Amino acid sequence: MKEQISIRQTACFCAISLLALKLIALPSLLFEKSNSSGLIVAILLFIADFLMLFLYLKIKEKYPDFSLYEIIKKYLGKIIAKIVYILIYLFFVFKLCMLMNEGVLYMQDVVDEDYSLIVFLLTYLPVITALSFNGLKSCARTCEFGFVFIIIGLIICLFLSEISLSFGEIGPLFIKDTKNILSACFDYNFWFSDFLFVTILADKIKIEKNAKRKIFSFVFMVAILLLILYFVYFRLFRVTAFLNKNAIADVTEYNRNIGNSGNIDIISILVYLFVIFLQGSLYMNCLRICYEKIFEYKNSYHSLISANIILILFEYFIFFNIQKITDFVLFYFKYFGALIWIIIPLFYILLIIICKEKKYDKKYKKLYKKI
Amino acid sequence: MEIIDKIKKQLNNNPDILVREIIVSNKKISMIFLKSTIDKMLLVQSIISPLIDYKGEVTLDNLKNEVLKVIEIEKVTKKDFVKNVIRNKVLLFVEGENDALCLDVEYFPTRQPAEPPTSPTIQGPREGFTESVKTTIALIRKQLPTKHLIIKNYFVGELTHTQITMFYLDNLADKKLIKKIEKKIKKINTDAILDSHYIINYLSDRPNSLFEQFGLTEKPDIVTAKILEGRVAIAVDGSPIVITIPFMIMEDLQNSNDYYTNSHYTSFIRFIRALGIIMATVVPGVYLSFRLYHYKVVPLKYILTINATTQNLPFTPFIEMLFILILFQMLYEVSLRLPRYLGLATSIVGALVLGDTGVQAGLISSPGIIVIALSLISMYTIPNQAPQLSILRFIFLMIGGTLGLFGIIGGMVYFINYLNTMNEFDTPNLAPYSPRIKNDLQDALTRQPISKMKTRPKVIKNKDEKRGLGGEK
Amino acid sequence: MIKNIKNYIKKFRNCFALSYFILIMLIFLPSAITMPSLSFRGAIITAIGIDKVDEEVEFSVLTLSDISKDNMGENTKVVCGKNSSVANAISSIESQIGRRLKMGHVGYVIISQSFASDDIANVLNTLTITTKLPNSVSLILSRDSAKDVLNQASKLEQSSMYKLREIIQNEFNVNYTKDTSLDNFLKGYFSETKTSTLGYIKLENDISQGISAGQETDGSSQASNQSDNNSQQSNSNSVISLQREHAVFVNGKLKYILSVDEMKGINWVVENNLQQLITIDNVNEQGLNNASVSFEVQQNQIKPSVIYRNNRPIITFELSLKLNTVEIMQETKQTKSPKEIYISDDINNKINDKIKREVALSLNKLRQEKTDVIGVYKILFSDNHNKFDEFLNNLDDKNDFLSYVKINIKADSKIFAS
Repeated sequence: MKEQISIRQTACFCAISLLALKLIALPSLLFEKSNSSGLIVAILLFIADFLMLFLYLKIKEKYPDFSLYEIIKKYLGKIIAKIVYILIYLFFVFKLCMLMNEGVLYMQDVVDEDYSLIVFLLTYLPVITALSFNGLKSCARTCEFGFVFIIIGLIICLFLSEISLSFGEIGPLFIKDTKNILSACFDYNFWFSDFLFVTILADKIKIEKNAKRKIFSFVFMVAILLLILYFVYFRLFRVTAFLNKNAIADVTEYNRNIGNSGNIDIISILVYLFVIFLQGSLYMNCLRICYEKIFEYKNSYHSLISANIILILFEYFIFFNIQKITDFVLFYFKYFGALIWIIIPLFYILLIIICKEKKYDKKYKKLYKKI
Repeated sequence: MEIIDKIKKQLNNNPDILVREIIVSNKKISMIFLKSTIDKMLLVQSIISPLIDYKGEVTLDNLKNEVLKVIEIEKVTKKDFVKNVIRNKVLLFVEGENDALCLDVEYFPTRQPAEPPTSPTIQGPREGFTESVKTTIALIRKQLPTKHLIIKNYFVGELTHTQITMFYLDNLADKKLIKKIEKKIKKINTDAILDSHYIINYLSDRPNSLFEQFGLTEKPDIVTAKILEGRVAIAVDGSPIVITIPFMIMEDLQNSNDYYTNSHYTSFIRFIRALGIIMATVVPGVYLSFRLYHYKVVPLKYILTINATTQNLPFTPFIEMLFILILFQMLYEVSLRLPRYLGLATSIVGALVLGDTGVQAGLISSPGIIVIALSLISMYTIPNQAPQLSILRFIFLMIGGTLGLFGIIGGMVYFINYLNTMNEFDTPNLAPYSPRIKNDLQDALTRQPISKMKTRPKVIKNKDEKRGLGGEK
Repeated sequence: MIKNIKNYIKKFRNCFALSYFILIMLIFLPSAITMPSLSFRGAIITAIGIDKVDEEVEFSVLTLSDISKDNMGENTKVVCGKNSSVANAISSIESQIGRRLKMGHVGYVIISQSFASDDIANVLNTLTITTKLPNSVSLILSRDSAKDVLNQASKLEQSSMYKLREIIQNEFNVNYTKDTSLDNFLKGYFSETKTSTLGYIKLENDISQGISAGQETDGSSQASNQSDNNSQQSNSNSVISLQREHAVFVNGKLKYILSVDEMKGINWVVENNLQQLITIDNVNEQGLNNASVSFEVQQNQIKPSVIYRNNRPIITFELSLKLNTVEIMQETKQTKSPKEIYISDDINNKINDKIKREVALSLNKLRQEKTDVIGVYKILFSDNHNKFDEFLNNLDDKNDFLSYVKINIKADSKIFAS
């Protein structure tokens, strides 16, 4: 039976993937690079992300049973489809590595100074592998289940931070020139472009009414919460942003002495750890699906074992420390963003413009059966 | 009679087989039955005395139609003789005829329906099922006087021939579900079915799983409510527990009391129960991980308190927690098994002597005892899941001690996912939250007033979703 | 053979979770089960003191030592390490007590004035990054040796419910007008003006002012209008004195100390929840005769507004004060309850004048030292950064910009209606 996920579950996936990499290091990097324009950069990238999502959903409406692979295969041939999927596979490997690095760093900074990478890998990889092995459907349901808690936790975190204080002395948000802002957008595109998974899972998403509205309402909600977090972070740390690498923990820890009870950051810890597990399982699922498409071969064991080996190799031997992967991503991987931000969208826009609706639909359905 | 000797021989000449012979109108009438399982008064009043008074022609048909004052009479042929005797029927033979009459004067010692000890109510019906399936049928019939109620009997178990009864409403329950259950029941191939729990393993797709996706209850009002939502109930002779299918874990957070009190209070108390699950499973593990690894997360004042009470302990935190956990689990087991009059003694020995003196002697620490006791107590907010929660608590304690907080979160995610993979009878276990079914939220963690619950749960495939139409569209 | 292995693999696959769980237990359980609790493997530090002695860093820490059940106070011990660098000093402490130092619960860091003559930001940075000192920890400058302050604090914590940590981090900011945390220090250090302020602590021999770890307290302790906790001391010669003085740092180096009077003026224009008193003399109305009336400030809303005249910025601070009358003193017999006093125009003007005088006093000091403690830079920059940049570019000495900014005060007082 084909594993299908509902629109609400897709929306939860979208919302969680929007959260995962942005809660910890990103605000620090953004405000370090572009000072007070960091918020503008974040908003611009959010908008770009939303446009991408809109495009992906539009294509999903047009080709309801096709994922990116089938679409490229249909128009550009099998080899190009495979090359694109190999690149996407790499993209997800990097995203997962980044997620793991941030996770380890977070654990060391906030929870336990002596926390080791090995313990992290031995805990994290099996869980996300098991989640992925149990199938996309149960993984999506788990996300749906955890989503409510994550959002409630996030809201509590924001309330615990200094959100209620005066908004008077924020200062100008737009100081540096546009060139600077654009270059920052270019540098940090890796932390965004979260919705790529939608194209990969497109054929597994159920067709429902009001799909776009549902997904966007979730995504907007999370984006607004994130912007509030960035705003609070910016208000609190401004010039010392580079010292506060764990945005969500620092923001809640700032008020650590509420009622003289000591640390109250346990909520932010729970929220973040849940997010990285759920997000990791989504990426693992994407890796599995990419693998199956690349090798045209369905075996969860092989795909997951290979993904694990690649991840361990990357994580343990190449990016042993966080700065290394951040630098790597900042220097090289941003160019990879071109694929996600330019080539795929262009291809999609062309598809929307060139291929007129409906009369092709029946053909595609026949074609789909052949594939 | 030759045939009676044969039957006796087939039944190994057991001492409780009785043969009674009467001569009526010069014809010998023989009866064979198990003397331990029949109502002797009834036998005398409705069979023996009419026979003795009878003066007419003796044939099986005549006796059946004119003489015997028994409700259930059936003419059986040779191949069913032995089967009927061991099913506690009286077989009546007439000299010169090959067939026999099978008479039902069965009698077992049974208890009266009483309030079940597992689910007492404060303001609500106090009836409970008994071990006799006949009582179960009677109680459900009493609650559901409708023509749509279907009752099906099956006999399972090569040696026990246990009666399994299935109940459902034919205008509500999903046909596919019924077929699936029937198929599974018919497939059961075993010597004995002694209790409802026996057939759960046969009905389940994943008998090895840690969690079970079957509702178990002793109360007719719960079973009726569930049947009315389109579920199927299965009763097993010899067990007061009735199984309901399909089942979601949310049902264990519900209690029959909930429907007999204010809906706001119900919503509140269900949140407490949900909190109870978390407390029961992860709290000891989290406490252990805090003590071993994550001092940073604990406020300084708690560190001071914990240090003050644990500094002179001879054990490491892990051993201490394991020790207390096993001790408490043992006490629990003892209190279950000990005769009731000894219960007080165990509670004194357990709680006072072991706990208090242990702390005083500096062998165990009071925070450790508080944490484990808290976890054990909160487990009984959902008594149906107690065995699973006990295992989970142990697992999380081990994970917390070895992998720390991150491991515990990982474990939680894994087990939520595990529950999500359980999909027995096409019903997601964590519905209506994952997948979210908006309609069913009316009676999940929060409950709407009963007058506002106008639709049946959508997660159970119903033929009719609206309540109040009697199932007629 | 291969078939057997395949069978085993299949079995392992079927109960992957259980097998993995057992595997993890085999790896980690032996060490976990014999591991003592973290508070015995590491020393939990509640405070840090940094001194400079003979060109070497003296690093002292207040650690939690064993606690008896009867005494609910915190039993703490001061441990000291001396070396050329902070990292070495820490490692020497660790070797002394045989445990790793755990800095997660540090409440305050005390830096002695002798140490603050160099750039302290570097040391603090090292501390936050290598030892994971939380950024929200309080940072205080001490006139005397930090080690002595810690010793006094340790005594205080053992003998009473007053803990220096709690006094400093008091939620009403009774002691320090500005948040004296490490984070705030670094924010100032990395800001455009490179100016930051820290709370100032002293050990006084004058026992009338300050909090001591004395064993006995006689009820007749003198009230002083500045320190909130006073007690007599008997066996130790010094007491911890928390006035409202502040140390001003520029570029991470101590520049000067703002006195109590100078801080008063700053408090009027800096947002805080401080409980401040203002006393007006010569009140001759409402049935009072040459009385001095004291008000407590319950709320102080500050609204700065900026205009530019001849390219010179003028900042007007509009203060709306909510006051509470607390004391009336006059020579003749008092017939009026403090509750009945209302703010007339005359009193309002007097309050306004007094605030203006106090602010002017502080501003003089700030202009003289060329330090912007009250955040004028931030206000002007947020208002219109282009104009402000232009103004700055026209100045010969940018650091002295404060001298060219005119500051007006307009206070509007009301009685707090509770």
